[in-house]
Amino acid sequence: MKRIPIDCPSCGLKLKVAKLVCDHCETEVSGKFSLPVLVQLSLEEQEFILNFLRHSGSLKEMAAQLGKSYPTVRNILDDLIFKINMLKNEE
Amino acid sequence: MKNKFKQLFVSPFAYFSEKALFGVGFIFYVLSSLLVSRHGQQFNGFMHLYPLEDVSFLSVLYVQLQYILVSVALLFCIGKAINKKTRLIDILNVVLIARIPFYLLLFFSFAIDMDAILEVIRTSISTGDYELDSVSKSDMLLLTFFGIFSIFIIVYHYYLIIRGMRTATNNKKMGLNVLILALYFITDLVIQVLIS
Repeated sequence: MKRIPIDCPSCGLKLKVAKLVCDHCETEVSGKFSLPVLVQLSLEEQEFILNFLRHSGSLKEMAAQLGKSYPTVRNILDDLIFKINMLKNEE
Repeated sequence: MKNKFKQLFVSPFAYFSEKALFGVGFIFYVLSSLLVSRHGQQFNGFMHLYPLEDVSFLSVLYVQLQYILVSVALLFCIGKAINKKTRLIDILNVVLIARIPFYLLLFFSFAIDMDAILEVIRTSISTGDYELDSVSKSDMLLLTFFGIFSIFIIVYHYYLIIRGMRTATNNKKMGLNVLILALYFITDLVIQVLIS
C-alpha cells in the first residue's frame, strides 16, 4: 500500500494537498488543503490509534496483544497525545 | 534469540506484565531472605549485609521488607513528581527486579565462601604478610574475578533502576536519571548511618 508523503523531500517542510480527483466522474478539485493531523502521523502511530479504538480504549488489552507492558503502552499513548497536540498547535 | 535477550535483560519492564514481574521479584525476595538467614547474615541497607548469629528467616524477611518499602516510597515520590500517572505496582516491581542481580552476587559470594578468603587475607595482613604469600593463587584469582563481577552487578542494579523508572514514569531527561540515582544512593547511606 502506498503511503502518503508528509514532508517535502526537498526542504523538509510539511506538504499540502493541491489536487483531489474523483475516480468515478473525473472531477478535479484544486486548492491548498492541509493534511489532517492523523495522516501526519507515522504508520506505526496510526496503527496504534486504530488498535486503541479496536480494543475500546483498553490499554491493558492492547498491552497483552502487543506483548508489551502496560506502562510501556501508556507511555506510547502519552507521547502520541503530545505529538498530536503539537501538530494541532502548528496548524 | 536476540529479541529474547533484550526483553529479559535490557528492558524487562517494557515487555513483561506487572503480575509476572511481581511474581518473579517476590520469589527472589523470599529465596534471598532464606539464603541470607542460612548464612547467618542480616540486611542493613539496600544492598548491605552484616553477620548476625541465630538470625531467623522471618526476621531477615521482615528487615528486607522494610528496606524495600523505603526504596519504594522514595522512588514512588520521585515518580509521582515526574509523572502523576506513575503507579505504585510499577515502582514496586522496579525495586524487586533491580535487587535480583544483587541476590545473584550474594549467592556466588556464599557459594565460593568469599568471607573465608577475605578472612585469610585479613589474617595475612595482620601478621605482617603484606605480599599475601599465605593466600593461594586460586583464591586470589577468585577474588579478582569476584571483584570485577561485583562491579558489573552494581552497575547493572543501577541500570535496572533507571530503566524501570524510565518505563514507570516515561521520563526522558538524563538529568532526572542522575537525580534519581543520587537520591537513591544518599538514602541508602543515611539509612545505614541511622541504624548503626
